[in-house]
Amino acid sequence: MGTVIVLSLLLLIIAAAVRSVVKKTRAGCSGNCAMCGSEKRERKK
Amino acid sequence: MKLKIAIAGNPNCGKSTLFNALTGLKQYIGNWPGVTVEKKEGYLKSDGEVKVTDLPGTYSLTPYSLEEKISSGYILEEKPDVIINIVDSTALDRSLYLTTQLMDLGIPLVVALNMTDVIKKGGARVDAAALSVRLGCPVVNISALEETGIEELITAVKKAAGRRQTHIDLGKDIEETVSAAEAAGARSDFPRWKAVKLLEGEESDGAQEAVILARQFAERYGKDIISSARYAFIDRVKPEIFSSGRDTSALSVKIDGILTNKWLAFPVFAAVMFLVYYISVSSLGAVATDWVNDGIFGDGWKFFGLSVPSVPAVASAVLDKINCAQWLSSLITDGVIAGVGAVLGFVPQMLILFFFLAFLEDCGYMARVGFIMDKLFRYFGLSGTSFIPYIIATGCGVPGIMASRTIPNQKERRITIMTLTFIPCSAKLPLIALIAGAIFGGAWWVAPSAYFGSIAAVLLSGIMLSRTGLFRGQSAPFIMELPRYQLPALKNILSRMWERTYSFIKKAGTVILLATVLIWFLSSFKVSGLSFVRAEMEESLLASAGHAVKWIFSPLGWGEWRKVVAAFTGLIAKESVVSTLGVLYAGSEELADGNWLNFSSSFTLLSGYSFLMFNLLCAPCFAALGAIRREMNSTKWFIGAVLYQTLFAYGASFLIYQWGLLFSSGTFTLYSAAALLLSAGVVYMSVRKGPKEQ
Repeated sequence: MGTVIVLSLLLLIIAAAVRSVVKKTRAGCSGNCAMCGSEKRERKK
Repeated sequence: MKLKIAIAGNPNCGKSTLFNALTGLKQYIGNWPGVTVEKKEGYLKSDGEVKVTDLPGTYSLTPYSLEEKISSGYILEEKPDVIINIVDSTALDRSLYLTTQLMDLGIPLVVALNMTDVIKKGGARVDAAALSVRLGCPVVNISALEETGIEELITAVKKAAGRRQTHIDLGKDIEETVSAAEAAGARSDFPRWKAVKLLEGEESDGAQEAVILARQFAERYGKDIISSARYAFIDRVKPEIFSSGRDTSALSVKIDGILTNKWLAFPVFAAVMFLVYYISVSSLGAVATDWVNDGIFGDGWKFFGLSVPSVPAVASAVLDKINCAQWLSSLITDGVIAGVGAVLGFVPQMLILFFFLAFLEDCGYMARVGFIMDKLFRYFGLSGTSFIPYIIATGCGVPGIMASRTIPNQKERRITIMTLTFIPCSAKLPLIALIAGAIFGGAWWVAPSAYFGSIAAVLLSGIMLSRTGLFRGQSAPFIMELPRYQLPALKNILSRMWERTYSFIKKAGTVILLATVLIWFLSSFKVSGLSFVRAEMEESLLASAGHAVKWIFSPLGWGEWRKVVAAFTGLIAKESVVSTLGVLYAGSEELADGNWLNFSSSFTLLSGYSFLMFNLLCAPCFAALGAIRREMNSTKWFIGAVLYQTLFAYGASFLIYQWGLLFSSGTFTLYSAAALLLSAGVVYMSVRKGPKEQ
């Protein structure tokens, strides 16, 4: 039972992390600084 | 009411500060021109229907640099409902020049008179009501920094929507020709603006009659008559709206006498940056980090006499108690906690470094560094314009690379992009701190040497690259308006420090966490038949891959598979180098009880420094690589940049290790001969004549 609970929690955390990484990667952000504070960054056309 | 508002103004007049005040976002701001190089969007804090766009600074609607093109391009293509034009009260003449151009567009304009609090200190005053009459638009006194006048500004903006903006009178002759050109067909949504541009010779696309008119006008009056008419208008208006006070720039001039002095500037800069890195990484920062590493992620700590166990100890106890499977316990304690904890342990050093950097940026000193560096950089094929992106890169390489758009010279821009990630960004700090603390026992010079070593790498690259045929041409002249010195607001500095640190912590919980899970999996399993089976680390998938390529790094002194794998994971994120070492050395003698101090046995001083320099200089993380690809806008240049960075890092680490070995042991080997040849090659590449001089 302990294994199932811990594994479920871990998978949830990993899923959230993957979501965040995909979002940041799409925005071209390294997530490394506080320089991209705007909600949406549009690339130069 | 749905509205589209654009914030426009000269560089460093407070646009991003106002944008943050209006939207509640935390867009990066800096006390020097050229911080914003992309437009940023958000919604009004008090009204989600109103979209606000922060545009890069521009002196006129005739764009010269890439970021100025973004600003004028946005206004002309997106046609905002209202433009908030920020006017810097301390520089009225050039601020109002842009205002007179914006008025030609006919888009409703609201002037936000910023920094009136600064001129008030000297007894000067700007009459907003009189200016409003002369410009025919609302003028609101604000302080973007203090967030005063914001509500009045929002009200004025909402009222202004839908109104038609009038323009200034450029004089009878000009106005007649402008009207004639408009009537002849200027082919634009902004006919007056287009007609003026035709007369100024900056546009050639229009109806034939209008183009002929423009040519006749230019022959008769010259191209500068319209800008002269704008300045004549400003000269007429200024005495009516501005009453001068005493000169408040005397203190700034006095401080500049020391900080930008011909002889003192470089020693002062070296001393300042030395102190910043020494205090952040080696002295105060090291004490705080040791406490976190030993207490929270090591043996636990004492709290008012009570023993508080460490995070790994608590996690192990809980996992045992609930009978968690052994492999899952190992994943959490040896993988996630060891890896993420290894990175989080360095947060105190981050906080201190970010505090100092924010202070130096806000007070106006960092902008001076660009000015100081211009002379030195020029000798090495770059100029002071390049230094602004390098300053930004101390936070993160990605915005630094994007900031290279402010460099008008293509040659300089490419060299800057290729060498920018040499500068230690915040993600590299844990590695610098680890090597300085664990391998060099906290030696005072290691952390500052990482910063100055990276500047040396930039300069050496600049001179070598500019002397190849690929980077022809002279450096562009460097003109920069120096901001005033100011005592930074503590609130702003603490906010910036926290924002950056929070980003670092968040990254540890996302990218680094995923990387540690992957590293743990690859270092705990091997392939047997068609399935993965648990294995000793030395027999794992990762060990096999590491063993296959470790020979490449043997000449650098660290050809051991775990270090090689760690260096490769730096491509995911530079913090991953430390987190991977944390996972791969977890439970070993070198990292007993999570204590990095024992880690010194895994490196010699030379191999440790060589490892540090390789990771500082080699190809950056994927995010920065993506930014390089976008900004270079060429696959050929992108591949060239990555190859150059990696080869340069390899060469630098090779020379450090092999020369060090030669001097410390006195043994001359084949590698020593190779180091000798490579050094001779570097000297030749640095002193040979460039393509222009040949």
